[in-house]
Amino acid sequence: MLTSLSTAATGMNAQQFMINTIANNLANANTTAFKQSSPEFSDLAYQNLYIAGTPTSQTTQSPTGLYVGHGVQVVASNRLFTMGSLSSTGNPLDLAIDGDGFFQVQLQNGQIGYTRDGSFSLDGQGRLVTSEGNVVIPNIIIPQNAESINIAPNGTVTVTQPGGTQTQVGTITLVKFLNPAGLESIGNNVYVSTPASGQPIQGVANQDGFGQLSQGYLEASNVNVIQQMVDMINAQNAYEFDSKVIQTSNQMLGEISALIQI
Amino acid sequence: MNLHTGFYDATMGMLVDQAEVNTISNNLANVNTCGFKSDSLTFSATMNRELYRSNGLNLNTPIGEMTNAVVVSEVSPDMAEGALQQTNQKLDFAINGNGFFAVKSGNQIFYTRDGSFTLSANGDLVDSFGREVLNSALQPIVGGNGQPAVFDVPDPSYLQKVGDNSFIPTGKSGPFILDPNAEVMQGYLESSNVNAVKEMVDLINASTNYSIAQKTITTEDSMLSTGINVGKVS
Repeated sequence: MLTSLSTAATGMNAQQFMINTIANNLANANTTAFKQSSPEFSDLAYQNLYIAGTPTSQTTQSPTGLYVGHGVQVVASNRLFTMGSLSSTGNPLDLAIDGDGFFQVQLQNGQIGYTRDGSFSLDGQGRLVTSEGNVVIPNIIIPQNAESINIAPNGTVTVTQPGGTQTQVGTITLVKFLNPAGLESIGNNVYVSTPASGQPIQGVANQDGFGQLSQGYLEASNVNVIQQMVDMINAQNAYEFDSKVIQTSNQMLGEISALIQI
Repeated sequence: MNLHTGFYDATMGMLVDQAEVNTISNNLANVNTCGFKSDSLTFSATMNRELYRSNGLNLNTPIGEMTNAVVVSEVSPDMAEGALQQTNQKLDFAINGNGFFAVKSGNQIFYTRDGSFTLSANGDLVDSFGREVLNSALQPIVGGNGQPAVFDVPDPSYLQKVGDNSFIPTGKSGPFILDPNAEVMQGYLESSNVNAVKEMVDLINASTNYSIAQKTITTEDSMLSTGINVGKVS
């Protein structure tokens, strides 16, 4: 009886993890360039009372054996890297990557972070920075007297200064990864690389499979709210089934103690 | 004490109902596990005994047979296909029909219906446990080029479950052979084939049988104590 109790408990834990993940996805339904996660489950090890093929007599074998399972485990959280839709903001420093790739930013601790959140602004020295103040790599410095900034789909940044002169001040480059789902998110819409994601592959926007930059646009969250609601209903129902198993097992355990009528 | 075999029969009844609840619990816990196949138990009545009527003077007339035990005879996975859900993820695969994907961990090959794959750091196609997915030449698939191959056995209901959504072949199932005509659907995942309604009904059944067996035991018990009290000198 204890097996079914702990098995159902693993089920409830797994569904709780699912609800936690769904809650995070829905909370970030409006976060720029957010990528939704979905948990991946697998069954736990089986206890074999006897294995299929064990002889049952001189001439016959047991066809399937006897085993009991122990429930479910959460194996992975898969981050889905499909593109969110692009929404126009009109802000010349807002960039969206239409396709694959990440911007590189310099983090406070010296590491390089990767992000698709292109809601950039300028700091006191005219450098292109993220909303947290992390500087974009390679550094792009906009001169103070720039009248307008144009960012081409391949990342080339051109400023127009008084008098009509146009100067190229740099190129925003992108990186991509063999396994972007292996990136670790550290919050603030930033990812860092891990051994599972592979090394960053440098490149230029609009070439070699990298997406193109769209100035004046931001990438929306890719959370599919309808699917999340359906998943939430499924998780809630599964949670309820497991709790019914626990109630039934509890009742059966109670019947054992009622066997002895003293 | 063979008048009171009822005790032991009812106890075995409770034990097999317990095994049934354990299996139902595992099925329900895995109602959202990709590629999971639900288990079902079959029971059998065993230990046939001949019953005799005594005619006195060593003459015993057989009057029939009775079984004295119930045991779980078989636990087998139901290999029916679960519903295919569209995920639109390039590296999610599902098999429409029979067959399994092959994944390699160390030197051993496991077989699974769970097609939720990703790329490893060096570009191989791997499953959620990091095991390499194999193509039709039994080699890892590099750089996402190539399709995961599908293998099948003559009798899949005799495969052995080893956890981690995986199966291994047994003597009765037969060996895994490549199936070149299998239909692999990209962007789909196969959900668990657990039928929650069936499991809940079986759960009600098992717990009711459990109560019935328990009542049998308490009835036997009170009959015994009545019997003990018959010869009591007060």
